[in-house]
This record gives sequence, structure tokens and C-alpha cells, in this order.
Amino acid sequence: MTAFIVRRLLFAIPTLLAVITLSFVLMHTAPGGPFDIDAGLEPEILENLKSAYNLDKPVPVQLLMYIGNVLQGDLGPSIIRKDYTVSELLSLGLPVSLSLGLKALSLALLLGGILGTYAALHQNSVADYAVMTLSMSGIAIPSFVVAPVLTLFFGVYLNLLPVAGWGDLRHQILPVIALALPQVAIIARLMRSSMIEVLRSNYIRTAHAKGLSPQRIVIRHALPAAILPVISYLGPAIAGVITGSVVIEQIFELPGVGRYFIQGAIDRDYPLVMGIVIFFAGAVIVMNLLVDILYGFLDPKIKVE
Amino acid sequence: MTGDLILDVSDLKVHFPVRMGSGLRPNTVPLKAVDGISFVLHAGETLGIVGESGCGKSTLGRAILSLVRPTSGHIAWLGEELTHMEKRALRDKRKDLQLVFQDPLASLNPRMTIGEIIAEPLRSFSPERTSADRGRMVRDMMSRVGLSPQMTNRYPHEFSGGQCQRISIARAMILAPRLVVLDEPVSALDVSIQAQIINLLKDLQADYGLSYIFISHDLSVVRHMCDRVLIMYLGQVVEQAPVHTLFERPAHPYTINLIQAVPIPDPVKERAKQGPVLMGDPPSPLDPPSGCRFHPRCLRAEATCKTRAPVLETVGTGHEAACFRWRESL
Repeated sequence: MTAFIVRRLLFAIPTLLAVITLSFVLMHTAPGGPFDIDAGLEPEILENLKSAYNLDKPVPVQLLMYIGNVLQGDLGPSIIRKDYTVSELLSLGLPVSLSLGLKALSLALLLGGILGTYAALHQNSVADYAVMTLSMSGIAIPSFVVAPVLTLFFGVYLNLLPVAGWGDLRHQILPVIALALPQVAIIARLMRSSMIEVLRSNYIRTAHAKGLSPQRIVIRHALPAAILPVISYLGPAIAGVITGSVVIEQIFELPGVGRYFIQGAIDRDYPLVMGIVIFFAGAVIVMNLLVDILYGFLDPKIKVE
Repeated sequence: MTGDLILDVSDLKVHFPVRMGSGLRPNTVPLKAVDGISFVLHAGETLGIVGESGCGKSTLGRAILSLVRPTSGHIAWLGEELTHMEKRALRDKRKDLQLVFQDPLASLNPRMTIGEIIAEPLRSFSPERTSADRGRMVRDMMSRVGLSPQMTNRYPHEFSGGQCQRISIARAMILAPRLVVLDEPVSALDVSIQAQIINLLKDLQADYGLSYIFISHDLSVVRHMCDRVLIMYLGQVVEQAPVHTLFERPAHPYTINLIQAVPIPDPVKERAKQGPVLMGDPPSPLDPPSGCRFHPRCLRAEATCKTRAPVLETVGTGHEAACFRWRESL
């Protein structure tokens, strides 16, 4: 088990290096630079600023220097927000993004799981078709459409919830729903199809023959098997929530990591964008590892080695 | 041998709707898996149900236990009608009515230890027992069916087919049922393992005095195991008789064909075997032949067989056959 985790973490290093290199090159290929907004700077001052951030050196050299710093745990200073380092900005945005992301993921699992199971138990009924139609729309309609519509309806017309900003729990309701909706839809579909398959298996027939209650058959016998595809989808789901949060935080004006990412990309704040990319990549890698370990616990036939 | 009447099945029918054709208005055709079957079962008796694949024998077994709801007909268990019983009350009857399936591994939940699998019926039907008490019963039952009680914490995939079938039997027996439907319990096993399981089942029957309905397509196993045999063809009974009568004096041409088809474990005798050989496959149960359903494959078929359906008539003591020309067999 320990060997498995260590090996997986070692494999993460080349992955991270590739992610760093790729995004670093992309970032520096994009036209413009961090000092374009300060129009009319004296050429000497601009040169000094560039050399202060090593931007006067060739890109490969910059990359190597950056990797060297990252290996020492230093993500560098933010070029635009001069009073903060990238690590400080991450630690400011993270509580917001984490709180949103975890709530959205839990909601997606709970609601998606229940809807999918319900649809499977009432296969080909009106309720089943309704759930599947809703979930198809949930997948098809992008969150940058859903979020403004939610805001318009609950925030403006009904005046029930704040339209944007960060404060108490009420501020989180709409962003969490908008963030969770596509995942609810996907998980409901996954859950439904795997539940239908499991319900047809021989050992479920045995459970009926044993004379068990329908609730026990679904919860104790069918669910542990049917949940496995959903568990393996958790990795992509987490990645989906992260990318979704970039859009959602922008729409709802939330001070999360995703918002810093957008701002950083617009400002060409190279270290900030790089720092967030590394953090997100690391998060996805760790989550996938956790999912694999969890899988080993849930399926006695799989031994994590 | 025969005790009290415990099960009385009369004119049982199980039809499945099958959608034919395509387009906006597909028409539904009933698949008559079980089409008017009647029989009785006594305490301590083993009734064999024999037939080719797809003749409806498994459906019959499941319908008796109401795992499949019959379309019509009656099933009286100890005088109580099961066909219209409410689901909750029906579940209560599972204490007495148990089932062992054909595929030993697939019928066990891969995520539960065999201890949990065997104990689970106890949890539902006698929740007042302590878990220590249940554990003791499970270990007793495991050693009774020839499994080492130390293996309770293992998972089904760690066992062989024969062992899995022992687990299934232990699971069925733990509630001390009065009737166990064995749906091809040995078909998936090696011949040597088959013999062990058959002997185990016979021992358990002698100990607990329970009744079996033994569904099989293997006549040599049926001959060894059963007291009485029901031969099915396309959802109907064509012959029923005590096991010795059936093998010594079969009346229906189909039965004669089936017995003829049993291989003799001697290549010389097997090659020298004479008599009619059953040709072709059974027709589709969606569109059964007119008259006697067996007539397209029957060597004895005559004009009447194509138009009129024979009914079961008594041809000897406890011996019934559905054939116009049964006298030619005896």
C-alpha cells in the first residue's frame, strides 16, 4: 500500500514537470507582458523592472530558474499585486474555492446518486424519462448560461438571494448550484446505468430469493457495486469542478483561486498563473490517487499494489 | 416416502410480453414460458423438472416461489394461495421457500464475505438473535455443508465453483426451509463435484425432511436424485411419473427421445445404440406449433396431432402422459 502511494507520487513528478513546461511556454508565447498596462514607462525603468523579474533572459533559462524555485517551494511574487507572493494569494483564495468546490461535489454526489438510483428503480417510467431529460439538459447547457439565469430568477425577480459577492452562506447557494449542476447530471446518468446493470445481476436475484426487504437489497447489495463507476468518475468530476469554478467565481464575483487565475491571465501575471496551474494539477493528481485507493477499499477483488 | 401435501400448483401460466416488429406501433406477442402446468408436491419428496433449454423449467421454478409473478393459475403452499399474496406477506414465506441457482459464483454478492452472505437471511427473519448466535449458526451450517468454518471472512471469488455452490446451499438452508427449488444446481460443475453436491443435498434432505424441486436437463442426475419427474416441452407438461416408471416405461415419444439421448459410458454400446434420435431444435415458444406442440419433431405424429392438442391422461399408477398414441410405447 505504502509502496503504491510512493510510486504514484513519484510518477506525479514528470507529470507536473510537463504541465509546468507546457503552461510556461504557452503563457510566454501569448502576446503582451505584465507591464503593458503601465503605458508610457521610461525604457530604462521597463528594462529594470524586466530584469528584476528575470524577464530579460531567454524563455528556456527563465523556465529552468522557475522550476528551480518551485522545487525549493517558492512560487515567486505576484508581478501585478506587488504586496503579495503567489503563495499568499493562493492561501487567500483557497478557502473560498475549497468551500465552494466541496459543497458542489457533495451536492452532485448526493443528488446525482439519488436521482440516478430513483430513475434506475423506475426504469422507463415517466419519472425516469424526466430525470434523464433534465440531466441531458444539465450536461448540454453550459454553466455560464445557467449561472446568470439563476441570478436573474432568484436574485433579481424573486429577490431571495444575493446576486454576487462573498459573505454568509446565502452567498454560496447560487454558485454551488451552478457549479454542481453539470456534475449532478453526469453522475445521475452514470448511477442510473450502472444501477440498472447491477439490479439485473444474479446475486440481486439471490437477494430477492433470500427474502430481503427491497430497501436492504438496494442499499446493501446493489449500491456498493453500482457506485463504483461514480467513484472512478470522481477524479474527472473534481477537475470539472475546478475548471467550472474559474467561470463561476468570475460570474458571482467571488474572491477565489479561479478568479485570481482569470485576472492573472488577463494581466499576464506569469508567476500567479503558473502557481495556480501547478496547484490545480497537483490537486487533480492527488485526488485521482485518493480515488484509486478508495476503489481498493470498495472492491474486494481489487488489491491496491 | 411421501408425506403430507405441501404444494399444489394448478393451471399455472407465466406469459411474458415480447415486442415484435418496429416502428411507432410495435405489436406485443405473449411468450408463453409456462402454459398451464399443474402438479403437487409432498413433504420429503424430490420432484424433478426436466426439459430442453428454453422449455420454461427455470421460469416455472421461479414462479413457484413468486420471484416471477404468474399470469394466471394457482399456487397453494400449505393451503395458502401465493399468487395473490401481498409482497410483504410473500417475503415472510421465503423462510420456508428457498432457491439455489445455477451459476454458483454470479449468484453470490462479490462484495460480501461468505459469512455475511450466509448470515443475511437470519438478520431479516430472526433479528432477535445476537450476532454471536448468528455467527455460531453460520459456522455450524458451513461445516454441515462441508466448508471449513474458518473461511467465514473470505470473499466468493476466492472459492471454487463447487465451494460456491456449497455456500449457496448453506445460505438456502440456514432458515431451515421446507421446500428448496434447485435450479440446475450442478450443471455448472465438474462431474466429480456434481456427485459430491448431489450427495450433500440428499444428506440434508434426510436430516431436515425437506422437499426439493430439482430442475435439470441431465437425466442421469435426475434418475439418481428424484422421486418423481415432470417432463416439460415448450411450457407444458408432456409426461409425469415416478422416477423408475419413467425410465422403465416412458409413454411420451419426447421422453423416449430424451432417455435415448443419454450417453452410455461405453463407446462400443454407445455407437451400437439404436432407436429414434431427437432431431432439430425446439420451435420458438412465441409461435408454438398447432395441435400437439411436439408434432413437428415426433416420429409418431399423425394427422390428428397437427390439429388437436392432447391432454394429460392417466396411463399407469401415478403416471400421466399427453399423447394420443401412448399405448404404442407401453
